[in-house]
Amino acid sequence: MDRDRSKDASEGIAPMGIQALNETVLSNQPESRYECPVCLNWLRDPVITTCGHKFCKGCITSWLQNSGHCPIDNINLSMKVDIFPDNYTKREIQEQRMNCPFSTKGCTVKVTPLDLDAHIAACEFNQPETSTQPEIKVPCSFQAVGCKETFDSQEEMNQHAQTDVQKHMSLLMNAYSEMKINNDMSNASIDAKEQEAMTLWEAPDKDGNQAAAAPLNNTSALIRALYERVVVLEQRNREQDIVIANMSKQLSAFAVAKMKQNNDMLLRYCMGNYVWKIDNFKARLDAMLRDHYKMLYSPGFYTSPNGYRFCVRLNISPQNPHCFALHVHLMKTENDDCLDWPFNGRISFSMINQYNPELTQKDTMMSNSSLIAFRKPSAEICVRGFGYTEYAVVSEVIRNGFVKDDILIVRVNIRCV
Amino acid sequence: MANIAAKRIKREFKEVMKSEEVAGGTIKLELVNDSWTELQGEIAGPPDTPYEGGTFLLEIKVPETYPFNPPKIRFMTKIWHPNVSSVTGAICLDILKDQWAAALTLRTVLLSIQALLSAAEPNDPQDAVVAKQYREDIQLFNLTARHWTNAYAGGPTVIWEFNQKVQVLQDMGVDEDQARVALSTFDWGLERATEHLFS
Repeated sequence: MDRDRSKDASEGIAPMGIQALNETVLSNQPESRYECPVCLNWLRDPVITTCGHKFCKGCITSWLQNSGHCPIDNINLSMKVDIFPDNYTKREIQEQRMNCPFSTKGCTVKVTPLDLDAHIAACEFNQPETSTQPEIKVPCSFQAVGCKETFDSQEEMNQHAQTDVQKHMSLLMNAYSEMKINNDMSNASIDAKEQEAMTLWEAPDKDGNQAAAAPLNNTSALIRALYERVVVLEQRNREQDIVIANMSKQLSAFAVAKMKQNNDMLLRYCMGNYVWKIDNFKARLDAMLRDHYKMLYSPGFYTSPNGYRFCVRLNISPQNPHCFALHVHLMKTENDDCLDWPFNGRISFSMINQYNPELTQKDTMMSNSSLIAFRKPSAEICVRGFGYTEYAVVSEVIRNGFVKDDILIVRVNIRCV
Repeated sequence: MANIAAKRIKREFKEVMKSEEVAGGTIKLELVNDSWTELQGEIAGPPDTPYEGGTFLLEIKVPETYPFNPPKIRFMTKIWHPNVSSVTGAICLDILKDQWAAALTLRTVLLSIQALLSAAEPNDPQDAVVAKQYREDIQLFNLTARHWTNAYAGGPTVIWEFNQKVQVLQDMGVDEDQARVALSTFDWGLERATEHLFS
């Protein structure tokens, strides 16, 4: 028989469970004419059907209980009329003699194929390999955490270590958690001792050395625990400090943003009525007097939330260095395309006298639609302004109480017409 | 497990192992456990079919009463075929039901299933949707089956259009398998599949 070849074939393909293929069972493979197509074993009490197929009596009986057909060609069969004992085949099989598969170990028994299985089960040479020749087994290197596998060689063990990583991980995990629980439990008992120490601490201990030794021990544990606690608290403190620093930084940034937003809102919703407070006026004035090209510009403000945007310019008049010039300039906005051009309206300047309101200087003028200054601005600030090149005499402004607390106030009112 | 069943499976296993088909790589059989009640089969998609180049895994459960009752076999690899459920992998094949015969073996059954892949039986369907497509638009059926073979069985033919449509549904948060089933069911109409999935 081609037993060896087929063994190789099966080992080459099915990786798992091949050890379970008991070779002694399979060695007993009948020729096809002695084989039952149902159990694939030697025909036991063979019968033959009217369609010419042989089966074990038991097999065909079981089959025909649920089916009325031949298992091979589906021809209708009745247990009563189509099945006959095949004593010829029965005799042939009984005349066969087979060697026990343990003949290599010394069994000399020869039996009929039908008795072979019974003999194998009882054969005195059918002993587990390990009992006849004890082998040196290599235990799995994860034995300590509970892997019970053993191997014939170091290589097999290595193989196992590679393939069963998952299993070993879970064993390790179990072992670790067990250890952790034990650890926690012993820690818990230390805590209990500390508690005990705390109560003992206040109790008078005059009973002698033995009683004194216990609290001493506990005290050092207590100090250690307290020290650890201090470290933890300090660490937390530091973290909190960082958090607070970050938050106050955020807060101030937020406040700045909020202020800016407020200013922007004021400029947008002033309805053309803008109060320009020029602080630090003395210093600014000195700078302008030194350099006549230096000019002060106010932020841009709106005649209505989506209306025209103007800014105010104060500088030393180029024609007369003793006078202030005061102008308004149109500025670009995102809504310029929706507005009517040129701008048409009334523009009033008031320079506030902060000591005597009656001396406040008021001037009003109407826009002139022919001027470039009132056309749609092409630059961020229209280069042409509109106003007075000689608005007020510098020395009078200073002398007559227009500047208070180093602040000059100019109110501008622009109204569309 | 009944003695006869275990013994027979062992013998059959050996038969399969030394068969030409295993040598030729068209079928494979592996044990799942040591009790011989569960095995895993593998068949190669037959040439000149949409399943060509794919490898299909089969779950084989051997009942206690084997071989007097048939083994229970289903596809574990998803497949688009009129006689196989696209959802459960259940197979509609007469020899696995009333036409089972004790003389059939795992080897012959695996070969029969392989033959079923080359010769579908749309008039005795397991999956009515697939069978309808097979009868009404065999070309679309072939493309769909080829796409499934590519997606699940390692088949070589990539059908970009189908992949893209599946991806579109996946981007909407639909599970890939569900997206593929819905699109295949509605003849790859993205709108109808979407409507079906979200209704």
